[in-house]
Amino acid sequence: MNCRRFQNLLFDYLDGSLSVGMQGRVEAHLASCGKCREVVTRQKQLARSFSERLQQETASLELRPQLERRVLTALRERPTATAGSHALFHWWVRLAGAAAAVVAIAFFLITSLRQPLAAPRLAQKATGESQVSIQVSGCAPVYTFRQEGNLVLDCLSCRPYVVDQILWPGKSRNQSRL
Amino acid sequence: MDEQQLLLAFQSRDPAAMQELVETLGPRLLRSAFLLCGNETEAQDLVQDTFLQAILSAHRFGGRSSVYTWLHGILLNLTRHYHRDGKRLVGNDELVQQEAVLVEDAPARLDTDLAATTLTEALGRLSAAHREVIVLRFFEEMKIHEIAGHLGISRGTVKSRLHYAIAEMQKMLPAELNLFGAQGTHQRQ
Repeated sequence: MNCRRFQNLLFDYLDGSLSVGMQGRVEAHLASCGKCREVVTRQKQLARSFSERLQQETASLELRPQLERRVLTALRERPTATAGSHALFHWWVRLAGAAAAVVAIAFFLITSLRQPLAAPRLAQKATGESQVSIQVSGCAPVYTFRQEGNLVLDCLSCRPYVVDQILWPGKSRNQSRL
Repeated sequence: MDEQQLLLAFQSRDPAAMQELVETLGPRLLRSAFLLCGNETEAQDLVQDTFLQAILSAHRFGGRSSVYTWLHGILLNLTRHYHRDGKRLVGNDELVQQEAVLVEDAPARLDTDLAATTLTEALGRLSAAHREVIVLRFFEEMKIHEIAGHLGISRGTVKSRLHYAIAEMQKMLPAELNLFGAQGTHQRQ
């Protein structure tokens, strides 16, 4: 234990919150170090003087009468039976909303990843002309909000879509449907 | 009212019990608020808002701390919002004007009032974070680990802020009011 180490433990020593072993080491150091003993003495004087001065400077402060009236008015106006139940209701609704959002996002991600893209098809017509068609399908995310009482609930879902495109040499026909 | 009675008064929301709770804890909260914000009017508002907020948040009080400690936590949060909104502490100019009036009207009281004003003024010049640890340590007489829990910071941070705040206070206080003893850690010029 040196003076620097003791300085780091000074407040803990003054609080009496050191372990038994550390307390012993600190007191052994203080027994042999007059400088650190002086620091302890000054800190104790500081705490005592500071505390007394702060108490003196604020002793004249008094609560204004209106404060008590306003607090009691607020107490009367605040419903007692529903305070806890409202909090509980809000907690459950938020949890349900968050869970629904997580499920919707997971559903969207899973269906998007597993949705195969249709490969272009090559069909032969009786007339000998060749036809290439492409079909693309997937899910478009849809985010909706609705209000229930004083709550706003959000919901993430997906809407499937299919796009067909037929390519002809010199001709093209597009068809899309949702 | 002892702690158990205070707790029952708070949870019961009985008006008579709440009135006694305000009368019991309100004055100490007011003094703490004044030291934290430096303005008596704002301190009154902060204490009022603290009790109003406590009524709204009564269901969240789990009894893990004393009622006063819980209320003081609300007061701290409100004070921080007060600072964040750009409201200033009482400036030096206002205190100087108060001192000037005292000089003209009651020279005999000058030293005492100057001393009292100077300590509060010095506290007001600290940053909010350093002022908090000084108030909690020397006015609320909390231990280091209690301050750390109350402010939500580490014990090491509390100690470093205390060391810095005490050093800054020493620089600002006149020599005759130096609370660090005749020699002190630093000597004022």
